[in-house]
Amino acid sequence: MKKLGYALLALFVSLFVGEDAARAGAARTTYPVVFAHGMGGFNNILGYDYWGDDYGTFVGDPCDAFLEVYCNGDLDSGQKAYVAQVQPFQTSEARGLDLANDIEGFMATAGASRVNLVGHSQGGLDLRKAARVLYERRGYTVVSQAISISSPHRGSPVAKYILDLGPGVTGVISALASYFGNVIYQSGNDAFAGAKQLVYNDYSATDGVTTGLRAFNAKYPVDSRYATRYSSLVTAQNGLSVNPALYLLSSLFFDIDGDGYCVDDCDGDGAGGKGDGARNEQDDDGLVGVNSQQMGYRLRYSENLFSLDSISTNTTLGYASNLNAPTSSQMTSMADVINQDHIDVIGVGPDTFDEMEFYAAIFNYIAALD
Amino acid sequence: MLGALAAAAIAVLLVARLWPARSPSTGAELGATATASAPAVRAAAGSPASGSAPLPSDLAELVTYLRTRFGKNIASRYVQIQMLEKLMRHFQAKNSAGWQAELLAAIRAAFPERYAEIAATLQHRLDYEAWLKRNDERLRGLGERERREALWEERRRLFGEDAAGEIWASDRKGKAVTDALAAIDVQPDATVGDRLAQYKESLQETHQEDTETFLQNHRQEAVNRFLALESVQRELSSLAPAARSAVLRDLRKGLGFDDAALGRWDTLDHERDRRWDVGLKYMAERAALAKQYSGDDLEAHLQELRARYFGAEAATIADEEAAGFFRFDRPRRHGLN
Repeated sequence: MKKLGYALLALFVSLFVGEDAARAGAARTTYPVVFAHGMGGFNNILGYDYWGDDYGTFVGDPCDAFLEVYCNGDLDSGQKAYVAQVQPFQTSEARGLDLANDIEGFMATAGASRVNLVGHSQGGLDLRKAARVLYERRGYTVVSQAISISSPHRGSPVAKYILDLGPGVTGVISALASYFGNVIYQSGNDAFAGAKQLVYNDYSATDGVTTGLRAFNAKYPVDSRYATRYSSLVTAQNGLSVNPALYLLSSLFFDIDGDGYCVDDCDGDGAGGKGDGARNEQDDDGLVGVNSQQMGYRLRYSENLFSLDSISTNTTLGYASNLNAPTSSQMTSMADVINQDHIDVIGVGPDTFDEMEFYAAIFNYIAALD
Repeated sequence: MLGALAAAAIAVLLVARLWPARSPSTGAELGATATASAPAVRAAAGSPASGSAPLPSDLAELVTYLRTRFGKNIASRYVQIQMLEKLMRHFQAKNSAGWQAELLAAIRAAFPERYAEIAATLQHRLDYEAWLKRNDERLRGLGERERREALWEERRRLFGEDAAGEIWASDRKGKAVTDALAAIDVQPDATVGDRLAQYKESLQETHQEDTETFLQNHRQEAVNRFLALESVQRELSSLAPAARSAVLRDLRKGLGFDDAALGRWDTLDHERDRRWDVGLKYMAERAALAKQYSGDDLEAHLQELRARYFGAEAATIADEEAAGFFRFDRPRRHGLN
């Protein structure tokens, strides 16, 4: 009788372990995944209002307890993730160094030898600098997979529009906070420097320093010494689904024309490439044009109702290894552009975008490569 | 009796094993997409969800999926919302005009006993979204605290106190600790130890029996947010290096760092002290050179200086300076940089 009791207990345990295992759609990554936020950042202690779903649950927390619901049920129960925090409004020189320091600390805590990086918006620029700093400090390639989401690798025309104080812009700081992120009051913020960082060319020839992404890209390039592999998720959206603030910006003041090709910033809008003459179309995500977002491989996001969403590599467009000289198709192709605005992908809702599955798919993608 | 129970349990186990709820996707390069297993679909199609008539096969497949994926925790309003948003996305893409009726039909078939409750949750969710859109500009104009209060007031009004608390439980926990940290930061005459004790209390109060799990997953974030407090940095800066190292070690130990992690941190703290020492010496020499030389002459001397001080990082330091960034002009933040 006692034996039967044990058998039933074992059966019960294996039943629920089995259920959890079945639910864990994404494989576990070899190295932890570090999340690098964009301009602004977050007030919430752990950034769950940035890297969370619309209700504040962090996308990188696996479900480790029976019947736990505030977690990402699609992750492997042993998955490790870390939410980095850098200066909210600063250049990527400063933020990238912050990120490298933060990662270094996380590695000491976790005992990790390498990491994967996922950066949103400016976080995708910061991670390139962090990867180089970590390589130089450690003497080996610390970053395995470097993935950017909606990042302005070749600039954002909105940043230049704000710096130029275009119509509707009364102050650089408030405009950046309205469009790019929350107002996070913190000593050390420099909104002007942050905005200049997001313009392709050096914004001012008279300030004695060289700012902008053209110079930054040359210094912190796609380089296999710094990260094993670089890739990017590209977003664009048009119409009423766009976040209200971004929709008002595009419909009343400034709408990016972000799907044309030329070398450097030939039309002077603040971003590499040019437009195709049609602004009111799905060629930007409200803040960044399609032609600015590809770094390394472009990734394809596929939603699946009955199984885990998937991320795969678009090999047709090739690897954007020189960020200042992408191919025409890397700048203009609408292939695998995710129909979301700039902030949908970081849990600014409510909307129906499934942040949990989106990031689980990213974890799964990384796990196959790291 | 027990034998029959065991046999039934084994049968359930086998069924659970044969019908995987989620098929792991494999092969990032291929982006392979798995689908629900055929036996599950056929079985669901053959067994009515809530009544006697068989369901159409596509609805049966959906019902099976919903029950498997969400059934275990369907009493949770948060899980209901997660499920509803997934279904909204699916049905809105399929039928933009009649999506709501199709969605509700699926809910009725999958969870008939909770249909009214889930349908109400959907309506509240839609009302909340509409309210947010209508009030976007006003909310953006509010301060952080006022905005948060306005959001919670509306959530409570629409969903009810308990359901709103359940749906936004993570949001509430995060904000509670943020508020606690802000209060801890302005405590007069408290030591780092006092502040840490209060911080641990607030974590315990917020996460209760899940505190250790929370810390296991986020120990580094937890210690970083504490170290970022101005009051904590002030006290750390006032200490001699050896005393500061001891305080940092105690602090990390207090948040559950094991011996191996503490050892790695001792090494990193010392390395960072060395970096800052070198960096400040470099800045002093740099300033002296800038008084003596200018233009290309200055740059040549600086290049030599950076190579001498920074080795492999010299080129990065030069790149930073060209962009107007001087890392050693920024404040030292102990335990963070």
